[in-house]
Amino acid sequence: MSRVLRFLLPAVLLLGCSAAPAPALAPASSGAFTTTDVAWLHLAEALHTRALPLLDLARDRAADRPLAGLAARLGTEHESGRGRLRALLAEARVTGENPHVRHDMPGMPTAADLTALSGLRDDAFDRRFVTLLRAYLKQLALVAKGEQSAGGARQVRELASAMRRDHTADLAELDRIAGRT
Amino acid sequence: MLASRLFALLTLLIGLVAVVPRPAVAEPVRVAEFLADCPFSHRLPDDPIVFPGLPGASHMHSFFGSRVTNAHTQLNDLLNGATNCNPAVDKSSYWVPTLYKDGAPVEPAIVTFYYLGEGVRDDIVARIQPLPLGLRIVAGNAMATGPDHTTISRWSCLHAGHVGASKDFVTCPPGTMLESYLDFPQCWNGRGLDSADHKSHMAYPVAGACPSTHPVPVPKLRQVIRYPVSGDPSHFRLASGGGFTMHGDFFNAWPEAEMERRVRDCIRPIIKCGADGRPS
Repeated sequence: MSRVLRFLLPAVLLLGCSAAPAPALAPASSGAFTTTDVAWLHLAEALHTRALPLLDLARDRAADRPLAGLAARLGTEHESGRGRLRALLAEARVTGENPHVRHDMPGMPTAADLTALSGLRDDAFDRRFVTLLRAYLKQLALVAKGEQSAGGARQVRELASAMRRDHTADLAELDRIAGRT
Repeated sequence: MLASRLFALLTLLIGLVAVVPRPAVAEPVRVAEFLADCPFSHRLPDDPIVFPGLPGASHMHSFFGSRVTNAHTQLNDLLNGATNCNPAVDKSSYWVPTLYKDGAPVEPAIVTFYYLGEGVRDDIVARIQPLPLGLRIVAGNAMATGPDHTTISRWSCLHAGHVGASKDFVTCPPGTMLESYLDFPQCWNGRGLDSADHKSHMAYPVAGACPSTHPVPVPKLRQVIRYPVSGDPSHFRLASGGGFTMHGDFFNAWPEAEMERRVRDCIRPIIKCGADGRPS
C-alpha cells in the first residue's frame, strides 16, 4: 500500500472538505414527510427553476404561434407550480438552497443549451426547443410518477399526481404541435 | 503467523526503499486494513440514498457489489440479495457516476474498497468502532463546478505514478489505466444512519482525531477504481459532469458479526488483512 501512503491527504485539506451543516430531516411533529417526499420536492423544484428561462425564450423566437402559446402557458403554470413545491418544502421545514438547482440533472436544459438556443430563430429554434421541452416534461412526469407511488405525505403525493396529469397532457399537446410544424 | 508477518514487513520495507528514499532505520510500517473487491454489477439512473423511491431521477450510476440495487432498495433487500463482492459476505452496495468516453459508458476493470485504520492517531485507531449496519454515506461533491477545495476525489494513473494525482482527469500514458481514489469520512455522529444531505452525520478527522460533533471513529472507506482507458481526458466525462464531480455512495450491508471481527482482528491491532478478514 505504498500508493496509499503517497495518497495521504493533508488534514488541512480535509478540514475544508467537511460536509456543510445541513438541517436535519423534519422532526416527528411533521413526520408525515418522508425522504422520498423531500427528494421529489427538491428535484421538481430544481427542474422547474431551471426550465423557466427556457420557456421564456420562446416568446420572441418561436416561429410556430401555438408553440409560443404553449410555452407562455407553461411559463405561468410552472411558476405557480414551483410556488406550490416551495410551500410544501417549507411545510416540511426544509430550508437552505436546493441542492440540485445548480447541478445539471436529467431533463434540465444546461447553460450551454440555453446559450445555443438563444442564438436560434424560427424553425431552427422550434426544433431545438421542442427537444428540450420534451426532455424536461418527460423527466417531470417520470419523477412525479415515482413520488405518486413511493411518496409518504398525502399532500405531496396529491400534488405529484396532479402535476403528472398536467405534464402528460402537456406532452400530448407538444406532440400535436411538433407533429404539425 | 510470525513468518508471514516477517515476510509482509520485508515486502513493505523493500517497497519503501524502492519507491521512497527513507533512512535505513525506518520504523516498521504497519497497516490496519481489510478489503472487498466488488466489480461492476449494473447501471441505472437511480440513487436509493439521494432519490429513494424515484426511479430515473438521477444521473447514470455504475453499481458495484450488490446485484439488486435500484431506486427502491432498502437494507433488507441488500442483506437478502446477491453480491459480486469478494468476500461474498459483503452485501453492501457501492456506486459512482458512470464514466463516459466519447459518449459511450466505460466500466472499471478493477474496483477495490479498502477499510483502513488510518487518518487518526494510533490510540484512536485502537478504539475504532464497526461501521453501523445500514449506514449510508455520500462522499465527494457531485455538484462541484470546478476542481476546488470541495474536491475530495483524486485521479491518477495505475503503473504511471509520475503523472501525479489531480482533482480532475489526468492524461495517462498508453498501456496504463486511469484510476480514481476517494476517501470517505471516518467520524460518525453516533446517531443517524443517514442525514438530510447524506453527509452531515459523518465528518473527516481534524488533526488526527474525530471532532466532538462526530465522536465515533469508524474504519475509513477508501474507494479505488481503475478504468481501462488512457490518453486525452477531453474524451472523458462523468454522468455528473467533469472529473472533479467524482463521488461515491456507500450503503453498508456487511453482516454485523463479519464487520466486528474485521475491526477487532485487523483494524484495532493494526494488521493488514485480506478479503477474508485474516492477516494477509
